[in-house]
Amino acid sequence: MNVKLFGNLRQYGGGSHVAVDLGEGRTVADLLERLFALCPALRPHVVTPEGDALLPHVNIMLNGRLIRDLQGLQTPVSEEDSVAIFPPSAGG
Amino acid sequence: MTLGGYANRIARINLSSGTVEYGQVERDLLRKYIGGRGLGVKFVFDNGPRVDPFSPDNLLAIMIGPCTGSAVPMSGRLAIVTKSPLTGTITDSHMGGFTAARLRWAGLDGLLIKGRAWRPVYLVVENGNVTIEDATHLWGLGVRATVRALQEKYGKDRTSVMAIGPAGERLVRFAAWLNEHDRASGRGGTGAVGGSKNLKAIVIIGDRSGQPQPLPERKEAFQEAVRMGQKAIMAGALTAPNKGGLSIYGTNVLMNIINEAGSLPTRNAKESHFEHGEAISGEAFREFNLASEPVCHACPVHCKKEVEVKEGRWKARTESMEYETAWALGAQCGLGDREPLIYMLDQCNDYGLDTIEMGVTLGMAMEASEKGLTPEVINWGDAEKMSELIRKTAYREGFGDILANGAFGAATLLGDPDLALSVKGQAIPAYDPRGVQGIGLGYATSNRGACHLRGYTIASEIAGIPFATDRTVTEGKAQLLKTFQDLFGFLDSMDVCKFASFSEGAEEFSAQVRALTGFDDITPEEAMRIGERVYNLERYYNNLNGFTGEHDTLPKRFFTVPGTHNSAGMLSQLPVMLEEYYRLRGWVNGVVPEEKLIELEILEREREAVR
Repeated sequence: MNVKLFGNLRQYGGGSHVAVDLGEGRTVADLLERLFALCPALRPHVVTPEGDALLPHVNIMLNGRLIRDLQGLQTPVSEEDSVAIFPPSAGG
Repeated sequence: MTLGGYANRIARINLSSGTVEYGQVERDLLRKYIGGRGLGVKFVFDNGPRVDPFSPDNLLAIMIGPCTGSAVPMSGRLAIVTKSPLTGTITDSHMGGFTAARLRWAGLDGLLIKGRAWRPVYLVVENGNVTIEDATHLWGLGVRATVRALQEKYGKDRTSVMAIGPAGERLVRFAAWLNEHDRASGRGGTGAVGGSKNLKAIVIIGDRSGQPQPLPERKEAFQEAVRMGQKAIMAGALTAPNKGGLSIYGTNVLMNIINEAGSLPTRNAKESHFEHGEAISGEAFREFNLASEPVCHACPVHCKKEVEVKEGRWKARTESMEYETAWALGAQCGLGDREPLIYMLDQCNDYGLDTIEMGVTLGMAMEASEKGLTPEVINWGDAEKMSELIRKTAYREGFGDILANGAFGAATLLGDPDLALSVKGQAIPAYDPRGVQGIGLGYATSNRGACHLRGYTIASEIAGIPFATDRTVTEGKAQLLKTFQDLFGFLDSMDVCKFASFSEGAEEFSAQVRALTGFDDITPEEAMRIGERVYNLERYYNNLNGFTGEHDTLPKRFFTVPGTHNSAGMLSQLPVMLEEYYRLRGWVNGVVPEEKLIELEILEREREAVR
């Protein structure tokens, strides 16, 4: 599946999209591990050093819903889903 | 009377008689309304709510706050408060840059302008004094040429110039004031009020030489309060210079995230996702069109993004490609091409037009054209036609004379007011209230017509500030909105940029005002109460003009036409939130009752003023 990256995450991920093989993964956390294996420079800009939470104000959308409003990193994900990762973003 | 922060001097300018008087503002009034928006609203209220916006009797209040021009982070905002010719409500609209700071350094807390000059004039503000000068030679010029001419006369180094363009001169109902850095007081048609007074420009001359301004009442406490604010801004995930998304990409960092949420009103909100959103995003403008990253007074964030097209049909260089502009002239009109967007932004800046209202009006016209309601055909995304109609609107030529009434006014004249994405006559900004529920309540209850800046619930519903809420739910949104509205009522009165609130809160803001002014009882709670007072006084002003709960609503399609893409099937659930909101506000069907006015210490003196 294609994971979409935005803002300065693109420079750490090498582009606006990264093709990730979800394999046996079932959750957003699983997907991130596979993503970080492909793009290790992304990890410190997305998750805490412990890897168990997103950094403050980093957002991940699954089909347009923020995963914080679903089941967080344990939100189920499948190959058909659209996943987008945003760095801290606000404006007005 | 001396008070820290303030110049303790305000100018009352009567353009009809050509006279200027100076005075102080009562301490009690400053304590209750602070400055900026709050004090401006109080002055406009006292001037009488029933005034016609284009009457010489309408008051045009150019206001700053006690923090303006100080070291308080982001303290470079200038408020223009008046009765809006677009909405008939009270309105306030704020510009950035250095104009506000120079007004403080020029030794004034505000300019209260009434009357109508018999010929075009401009004002010169210096050393606490105001003179009225002949602007006949400037009338008809764009904002840029006006600024250039006045900078040639008065110099650049110590001078700020704010001006109206041809749109303001012709009373286009959404005409703006802009300064030398293209920072606009865009919303509500304050530029048209200037035009109605034959007021072309204001030259403000001042710097920090000599005695530093503003002087804090408690120097050490003020330095500590400033340090606290600066630390929060520098460390904030959203505001950190060159790290946070706002700093790197500007406000247009929002284009992709809002589009991904299926909450970007597209083609006059017939859809809520734009297939070319990426092409007009902050990321794309930064990669292909960034010319410079200018700053405002005391701001380390530098969210302004000057953009450029170096050659060809759309050659232009202009500040600043904001999210709202990229959306209004882009997705709202079905245009996904950056180069004409830059050109049209440049047009709007020079003619003196609010880009939000202009874009929403054009999108409305495109849908009206599909229905055969317009005198000229205008297709979705037709950049050439859009550019032509922007010029015609500014000069009120042909079809432009209809469009000059804004989206609602124009749609009404075309025979289908439901085509307008407007609330109380003002166009919505760039968030779809079907996909983001709380902001819809914000649009509906805004005292100046549809607006995201009265209560920016997007901070919570999307960015997760100060805490995260689910954009799709209605529960808790009324309280969330009220909190934002009250906080911003205070912040706009300081007058500090709202983006500071991404990293600071009532605690920091109240500490800054306490130390600066010496009003030691302005606790964080009291700051919120002051903001609530401002919001209720605005509402009371509107009530006296006949606005009630009937006007606290949204364009019909947000209740009847479902969102698309990642907000597929969603509709606004406004009525549920509105009931809760009125309960929290203590309002009855959108009207502030007398007991609430008394509770907030608004009523008695203000009732006398109305009479």
